[in-house]
Amino acid sequence: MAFAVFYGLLLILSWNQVVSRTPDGRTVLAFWHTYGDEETSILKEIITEWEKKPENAGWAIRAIRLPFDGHKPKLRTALTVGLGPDMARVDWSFVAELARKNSTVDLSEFGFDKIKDQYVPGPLQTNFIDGKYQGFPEQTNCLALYYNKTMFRKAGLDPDRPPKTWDEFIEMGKKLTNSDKGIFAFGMDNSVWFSLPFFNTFGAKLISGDGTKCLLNSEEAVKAIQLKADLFLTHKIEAGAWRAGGTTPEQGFQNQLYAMILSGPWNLPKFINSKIDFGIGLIPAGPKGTSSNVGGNNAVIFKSSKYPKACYDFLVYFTSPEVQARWCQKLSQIPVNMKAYDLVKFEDKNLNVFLEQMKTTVGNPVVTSFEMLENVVNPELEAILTGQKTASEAMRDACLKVETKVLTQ
Amino acid sequence: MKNMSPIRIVGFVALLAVLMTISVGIFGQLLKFGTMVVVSFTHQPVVNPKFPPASDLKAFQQIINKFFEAYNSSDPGNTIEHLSSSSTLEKTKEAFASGFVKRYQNDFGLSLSGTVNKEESFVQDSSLGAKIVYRTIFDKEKKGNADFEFVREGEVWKLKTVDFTRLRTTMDKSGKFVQGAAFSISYLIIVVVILKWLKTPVARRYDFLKMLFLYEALVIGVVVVMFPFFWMFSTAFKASGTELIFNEKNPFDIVPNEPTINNFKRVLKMDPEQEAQTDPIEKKNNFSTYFVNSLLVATTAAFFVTLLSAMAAYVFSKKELPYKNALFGFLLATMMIPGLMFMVPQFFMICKMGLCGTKLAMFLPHLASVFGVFMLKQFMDTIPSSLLEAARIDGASEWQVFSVVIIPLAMPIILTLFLLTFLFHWSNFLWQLIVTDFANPLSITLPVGLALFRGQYTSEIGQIMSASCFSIVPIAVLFLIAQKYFIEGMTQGAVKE
Repeated sequence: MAFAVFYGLLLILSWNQVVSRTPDGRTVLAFWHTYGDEETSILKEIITEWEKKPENAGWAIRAIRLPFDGHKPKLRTALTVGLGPDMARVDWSFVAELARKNSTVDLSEFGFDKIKDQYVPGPLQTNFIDGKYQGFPEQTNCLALYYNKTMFRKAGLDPDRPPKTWDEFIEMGKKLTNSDKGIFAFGMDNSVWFSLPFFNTFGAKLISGDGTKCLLNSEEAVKAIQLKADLFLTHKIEAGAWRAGGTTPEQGFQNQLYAMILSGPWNLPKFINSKIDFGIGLIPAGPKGTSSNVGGNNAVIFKSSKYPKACYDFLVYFTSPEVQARWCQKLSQIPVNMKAYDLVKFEDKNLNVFLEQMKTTVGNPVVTSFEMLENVVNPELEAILTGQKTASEAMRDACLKVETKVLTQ
Repeated sequence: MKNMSPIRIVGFVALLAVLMTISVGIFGQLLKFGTMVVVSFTHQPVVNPKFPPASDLKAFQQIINKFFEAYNSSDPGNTIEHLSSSSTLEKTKEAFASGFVKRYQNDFGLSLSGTVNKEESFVQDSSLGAKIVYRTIFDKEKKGNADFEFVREGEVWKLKTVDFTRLRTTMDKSGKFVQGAAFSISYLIIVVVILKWLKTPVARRYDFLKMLFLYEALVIGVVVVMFPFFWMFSTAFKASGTELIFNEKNPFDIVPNEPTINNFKRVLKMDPEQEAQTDPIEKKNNFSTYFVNSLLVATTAAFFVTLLSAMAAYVFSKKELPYKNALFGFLLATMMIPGLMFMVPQFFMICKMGLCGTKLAMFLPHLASVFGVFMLKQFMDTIPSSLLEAARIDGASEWQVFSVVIIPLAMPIILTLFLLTFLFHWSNFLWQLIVTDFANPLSITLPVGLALFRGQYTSEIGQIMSASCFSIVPIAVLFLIAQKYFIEGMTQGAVKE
């Protein structure tokens, strides 16, 4: 009886008339995205502006928010069944899979080659799959060096001068480390993506341009990974934050245990809330200068869409300098459009370091499944740090696995 | 019989000490938590502490200047152009200033008094001159930390900037009262226990000790079990960006010092900004909608799964039909195939039926539960057939046999199945994600809705935790209700053949 009453109540509570949102005879373009609350509200403004332009009178864009955590399975199943959207914002690493499964539209048919030079090279390159541009860079970020000024002062270092080169990094690191107290100069993640800044400052490529050969065992790559391992093994300035169950770099930095970490602009507001006195520096330079990796998202148009041209027009507008500048100014993000760099003015000096760092990025390795690459290579990276293998052995083994498991996909 | 055994006394005192530690710990944290909840409503965390008023600064500058004049005259050839200091903020300006001056005097050897933690302070050379920096560790009593920067302009030193990094919070101020209250309660308990001990006849004091020990052990067990929940509730009150910061000295002290109620407000969409939302669909796009949706989906699914499984299990257990065992074996064999394999075909079929994005789609493919049938059949096999025969002789119909005899006897296992199914659907992320129509918030369920709080690189841990505070409620309630039936069912079903 109680159950019946409870259930009846539930039914009443969940009884809602579904309000239809299809507007006034305009053609609806579905845009699946994974933005947060603030971003979604600005996206709506931009969509309304675009729809109001006279040439776009016939279109209506319906922005639909998905959780980032589930956007890949959701898109995979929806596309398999033919219920996918017209366009979507996806993780940068997902573009290669979608393109190779023949789901995305090659942008060159709409004249993308003419406008592609306006985009920042690093993020743009993540859309360049097998000789074709398959998506727009849409939101981007990269890693840079966060350092704790208070800890720098305490170690007698100038708090306004982060290390410029890896040698300097090691030298300063030794001053900052006090392992008896559990204080270390550096805390690092040990995944492929987080290791890319090391590879890139040594000019090492992971996968050859045509996507057929693994170059992890090249001389530069081994040197880069050797340096990374030495921070922990030889110089002992790294805390072992990569270990399972270790204090993560972020947490160590917030609790003032690690003086320096590599992290992205997404942590700026967080760390400000944590009330730490911190600064941002460029990634220390290697033989090929400073460089970083590329994160963020790209926007793709699906072949199942009936109106790819309209989607293309919207995405061009969305990534245009003015719109990008406004978007980034409001949200404190890094523009994907080079021309937008002159239009944004950030008061936060730290964010400007990220803008500078972004221009030094060279793009990420293109593989169908970046997750698979991580799964295959990460254990080898860890084997170096735990001393089970030397850098060259591990990279040789990693290459074998990559060529059989990742590049054949 | 001896009236006092020394061992017994020692045991009692030891247990009292343990009791004291436990109760101070528990009541301290619980009272702090209670205070924190109140404070979270009344005081918002200080994001940007205010610059002190100009009059205060002037008074402060005069005190400092006196010292610097003395310092300059004692060492005329000094090259220091720039001084910065970071020091603890005391209650009054004068107290702070004199403490501050003392530290400088101490450092320059002008005076012998004053204390400074040498390890935390240092002098640094730079191209401009010397820079003196003090660092003060935050501790429980002195949370204030201010950075001062002085620049020399001609003959006088001018205060350039004051930067407060952390202030004494309302929680700190109430800390002493909370601690005092925790101690008083603990003393009260100790007194009560001692009185009881004195009242207990000497012969039964050994039993009393045993009981006391048992209760203390149980309380420790409860603390261990409840700690994660306590952690969750506490984290829900932490401001964004501070969730992972812990007390350096006592990592178990997890109640935030600067609590905020904003996480709950954001989750329930009670922010003023969000209330301005005019779109009727977006207005529905909030946690309470997800919650009701999930409750409906999970309850319906659990009810029908249990009903269908019970009926099927009854037939497999008590009825004769050709190839019964082979059929049952075949059903069991389907359990060997991982459920993920069906996902895409099931999704395809559901969409072909036109059910995509409806609540029905969330549980329809899971209604036939082989596991449920198996579990109930195994239990029903143990119900004696003679009971059914007796019912039939009394003139019961087939349905009556099922509903009057089988269901009440199998209630414990039926409730277990109900719980398991409820839990499965309450937290079934992947399938619900796939069939959800995100354009229509009325189809978003809790596990999927919770995922919306996670971004690509960052998670709003505080918001996830505050949402989780609500999401455990139905499960907790269900367990509490079911617990009663479990015990009832156990005793009622005890029949000997």
